[in-house]
Amino acid sequence: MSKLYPWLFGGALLLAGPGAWAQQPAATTISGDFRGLRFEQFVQRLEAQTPYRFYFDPAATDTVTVRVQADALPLVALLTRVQQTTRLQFAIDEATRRVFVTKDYPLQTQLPDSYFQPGAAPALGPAGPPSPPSAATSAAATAAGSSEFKLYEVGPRQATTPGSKATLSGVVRLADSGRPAIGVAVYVENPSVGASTDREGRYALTLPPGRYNVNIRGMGVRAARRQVWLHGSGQLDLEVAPDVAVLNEVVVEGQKERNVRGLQMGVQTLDIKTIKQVPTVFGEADILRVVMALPGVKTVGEGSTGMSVRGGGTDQNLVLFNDAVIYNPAHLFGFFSAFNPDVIKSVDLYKSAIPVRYGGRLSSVLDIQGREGGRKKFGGSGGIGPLTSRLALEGPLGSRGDGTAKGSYLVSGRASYSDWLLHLVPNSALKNSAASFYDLNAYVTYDFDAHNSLYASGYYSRDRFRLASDTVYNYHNTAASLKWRHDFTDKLQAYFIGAYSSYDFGLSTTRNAAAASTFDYSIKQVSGQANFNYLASAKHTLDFGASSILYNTQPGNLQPLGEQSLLLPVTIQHERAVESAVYASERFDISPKFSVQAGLRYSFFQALGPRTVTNYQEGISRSESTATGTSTYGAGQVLAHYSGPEWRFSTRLELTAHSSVKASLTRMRQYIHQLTNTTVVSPTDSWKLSDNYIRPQVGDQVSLGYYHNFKRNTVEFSLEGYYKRTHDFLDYKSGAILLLNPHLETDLVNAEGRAYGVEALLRKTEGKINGWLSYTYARSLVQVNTATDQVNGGAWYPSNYDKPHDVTLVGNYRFSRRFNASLNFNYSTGRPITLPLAKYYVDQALRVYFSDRNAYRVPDYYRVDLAVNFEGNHKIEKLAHSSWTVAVYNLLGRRNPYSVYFQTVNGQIKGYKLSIFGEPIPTVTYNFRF
Amino acid sequence: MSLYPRFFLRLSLGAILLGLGGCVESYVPDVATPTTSYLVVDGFINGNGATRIHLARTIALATTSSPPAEKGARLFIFDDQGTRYALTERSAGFYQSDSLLLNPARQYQLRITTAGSGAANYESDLVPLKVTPAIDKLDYYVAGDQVQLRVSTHDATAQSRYYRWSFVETWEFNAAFHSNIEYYAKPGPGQAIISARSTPIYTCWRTERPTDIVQTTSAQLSQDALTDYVVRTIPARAERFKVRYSVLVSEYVETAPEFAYNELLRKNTEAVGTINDPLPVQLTGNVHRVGNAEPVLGYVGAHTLRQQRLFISRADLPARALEDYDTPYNTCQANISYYCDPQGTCDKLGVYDLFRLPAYIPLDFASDAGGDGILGASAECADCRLRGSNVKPSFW
Repeated sequence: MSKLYPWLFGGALLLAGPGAWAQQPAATTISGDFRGLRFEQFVQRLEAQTPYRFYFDPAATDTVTVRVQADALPLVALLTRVQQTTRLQFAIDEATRRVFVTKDYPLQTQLPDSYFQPGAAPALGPAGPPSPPSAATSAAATAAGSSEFKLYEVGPRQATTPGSKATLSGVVRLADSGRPAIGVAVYVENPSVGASTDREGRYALTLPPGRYNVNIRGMGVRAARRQVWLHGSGQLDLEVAPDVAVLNEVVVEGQKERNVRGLQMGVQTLDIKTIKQVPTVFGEADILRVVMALPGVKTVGEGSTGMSVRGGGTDQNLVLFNDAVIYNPAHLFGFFSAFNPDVIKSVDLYKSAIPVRYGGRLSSVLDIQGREGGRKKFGGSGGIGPLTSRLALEGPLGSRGDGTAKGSYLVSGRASYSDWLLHLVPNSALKNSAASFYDLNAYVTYDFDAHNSLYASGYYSRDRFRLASDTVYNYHNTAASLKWRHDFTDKLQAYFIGAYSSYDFGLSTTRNAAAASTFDYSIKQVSGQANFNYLASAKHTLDFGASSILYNTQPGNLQPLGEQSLLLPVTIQHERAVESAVYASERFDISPKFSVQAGLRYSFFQALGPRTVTNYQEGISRSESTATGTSTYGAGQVLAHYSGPEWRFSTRLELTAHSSVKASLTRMRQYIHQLTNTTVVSPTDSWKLSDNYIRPQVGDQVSLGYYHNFKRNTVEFSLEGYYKRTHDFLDYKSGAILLLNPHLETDLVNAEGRAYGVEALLRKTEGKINGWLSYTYARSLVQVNTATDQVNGGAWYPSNYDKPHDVTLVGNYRFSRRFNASLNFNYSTGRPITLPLAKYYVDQALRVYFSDRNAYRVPDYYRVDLAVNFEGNHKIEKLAHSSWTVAVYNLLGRRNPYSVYFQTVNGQIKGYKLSIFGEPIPTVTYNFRF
Repeated sequence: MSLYPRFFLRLSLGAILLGLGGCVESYVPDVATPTTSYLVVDGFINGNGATRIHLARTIALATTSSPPAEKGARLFIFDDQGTRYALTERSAGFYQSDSLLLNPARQYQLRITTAGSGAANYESDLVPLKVTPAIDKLDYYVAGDQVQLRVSTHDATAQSRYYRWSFVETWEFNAAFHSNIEYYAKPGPGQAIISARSTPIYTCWRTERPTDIVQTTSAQLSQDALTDYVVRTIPARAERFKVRYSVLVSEYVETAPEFAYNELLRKNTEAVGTINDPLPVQLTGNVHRVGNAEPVLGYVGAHTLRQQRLFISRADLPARALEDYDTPYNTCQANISYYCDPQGTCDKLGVYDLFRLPAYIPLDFASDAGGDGILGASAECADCRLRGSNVKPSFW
């Protein structure tokens, strides 16, 4: 009788709380003075007076002394009194007249009504009677919660006041590698409170104190549950088993409802898994290519990583890799993105409601997060493709002594062997050419304690190509960042980020000994940022911070090469500037269905000396002949100052559980401009800082969206519309000289832009068939109509990025866990082009008269790609896991116009259409992981 | 110098892309033909000689006929002091002034009044007269498979800076076969219908004017001097060098705006519209219709000319087998048309009828196992006059 069978569930009632007690009929009453009795004696007296049998663990009750007396009290009332003075809990099964006595926690005597409904967890609920204060429990349990069966107590035991809340926070880690589990849902069912882990795997739930089943679900982790008794705010790190057969689980469940419930609009998140499924031309997963398949993002050409987001220019995208800016995210003329897919974790693209912590570019922010190394054991991964190979190694750093590590490292490299390709080209000039690149990454993470973590990232890439043996180009990207996370309290978290980025390119030519030269360009930036996140209450979240960037550019340095060179050295004045910002935004959940986020970023820009600035006559077009003199500024002296507010406002109204409407209003300011007179991103494009004449670009965007999830959140639909205005972006006078121009301001004009469009996205995130289908209607228009300079007579005309219709299908079919196929379909309207209209002869040579700028279009673009992935077997214990990818790019072999151009051939003007990938291109790639 | 690396990058990139499975196809855009045609002014104000201006109109791209001449217009050169010099129409659309010696201290412009229903006034911007320095040296240099024409020039006053060259190339060449006999439609007394040739058609002289814009600047150099600047490159196996080649190089100095205009014109025409190219420019020039925004095409500059001639013979270049030259005659064949079979049966009239055709040239009488006949070849192979003139130029 004194044995406890916790798994014995009766069929009658749940003795759960006072409310439940009161509802029971008083079948039997008890009288007597039980004061001073030991519990066992007390039970013997009760069993004598009533038909109830008591089940308890003598070891748990031998210290309990009963201090109650009863006068015809029902059993339930009597036990309630006992419960109030001891830590014992009673569960009565009326059907069998059994009473189960437990210490601290009541026993559940029946299954909850919802037990057999899928998706619902047993409702142990927070309704347990409050425990008496006890000094025996620890204040916080930071040990990793790794057991499903253990109960984790969090926070100091204390009497709780009704309505009080406590915050449960911690880090979710993968049990095998110790890596944080990112984007994993951590939630309790009742009340419905949940959170998704951030990039460090951190989560925080604010709940009334009580007992909960905390569910952890997400991609790459096995769904798990932890029993937590939350007494007060505290930390609980959760360790979950990785889902080895990750192929089975593709979707981040925690983000299932993000489409509808998230406040952010115009944001797209891609994990590396999705990225790797999309077929690419050279078989290697390419982040930027996949980003370009998203609605609202248009490529400026095959074999180019230049992208236009919602009609913006290629320089209006902020590309961040582990918080450091990458200026030229391309290798080998853009055929490869600069990011090694093995070190990427995920990519966020912000198109409209850009968080206040970002600034400095008008159109979008592409935030690329590196992957943390594994924390459990040394490992590696790599791939061998037709043009490049790559290798990544990772492992733990600093053991904690319990098999987990305090940190991890990940180093990787990627190199091309594309030179041989050039030698195959039947062209003598190209046989002498060379083109190669490599990139290196390192990422170190280290947790000093639960409140302090450090993240260090380094990136270096180098491209070098020699064309026809007398001109050598090279360029480098360098980026480094150091991030320190510090939790002041559970509610106030801060990130301190220091970053350095530089980009430089050079070219040397020896074609003519008298004019042999070298040319260099470089831009460097050093930045610091402090970013705070304050969870003021369940309804208010505050983000605030400040950042500052110091720019230093060397716009051009031309030097003679060799003794015979007659060339005069030319060095354009260096440019320096400081761009700073302070920002704050508050998220207010007015009701569960209606929330608002309002933010303000105030940015400042100061162009600094030393510099000599040319002055020009007012009111007429700037040119060398209208210069009136110069002004000289000393070191550190401010020669131009710009500042202004940037507002970020977004709101969400949930219409039903599965649909919502969101709206946003965003203003961005951009102080740095890319100089290019081509539409693609070329390695010789340089960046110019705002100064006395070059005003910052300012962009405003309003957008409105409707979001709907179907089929239990596995199918997402969104419809977003936007309207944008852009002021003062750079356009060029005809024949502008952009490199080595000491008076660049005379070749530039300010243009106005406007863009509008509608983007529809249907995305299926789960199942054998998954992927997305998107349609975009978008226009992008430009106007150059200043007092002195006009294009097309000052009328609005289509920008280079104006491709009104765009349909993209990215589909995936999983035949089995080891075999899946991907299909890619792309259609877009042709790019605008300026066409020749008439011909004439001057000096007996045929010449051409052109149409208005961008008055016509090249033929439409469409392409189908197919890829098949074969995985090796999924045994965990294996030397290496490998997979093969066989892909065909441009399956139909359509000769899509990369460009249309006209050449004078034998006195006739002939139009030509150049297709880069005019035939199906098959590739085979071998990937491995150990 | 800063202009060409990008240009070169584009060309090379294009070639690499082609190597990767790309392709180039012919493309005809679907463009409505413009209804109006614009005035085209072609020529320059010659500071030391006769100014020749050609007026014409633009034509649609697909048009194969030559552009219509602008006839009956009245043209004058004006200087900034109001002095004017008239041009007269020598042939349809061609206008010429007297030989003039203009004052280089003044600025000049061209004024045009067109005739007919669309009569209008046009004028070019006032431009300074640029005086071209002498060509110091014109020579050639063999660089591998290429023959480079090189120019050295300098201006001690550093006023020139922007140089442009044009070329008139003439070379002697031979048809594929000697023709010793000729078809006479009206033979003289005692002459056979096919008898000894009187019109030489084996050796001719061909003249070409390359239309590419060749110009450079010394603005980035410490001296206004060009040393061995390569103005033209010709493959050494070109037919030009098979016998003897001559080139007349004309040099003239431009103003900076004219140089920039020509640079744009070059980019506009020689390669435009590719995604890597600068945007094509709606380039018109420095001529305007008075009181109207109608586009007018052409740039009227003012300069003097310097010319020099260079000869290159086959013997001047590294030895090369005759059949190793690129000529349009490499695939030529000669065949015998028999008029008597080996048994002695003859029918000359049928064969004469064949050679009556101007497209077929008799070379010589010939006999072989097939009988007696006349060796003949197509006119393209035997008559050099189809590609040049059989009159030796005066400078040869």
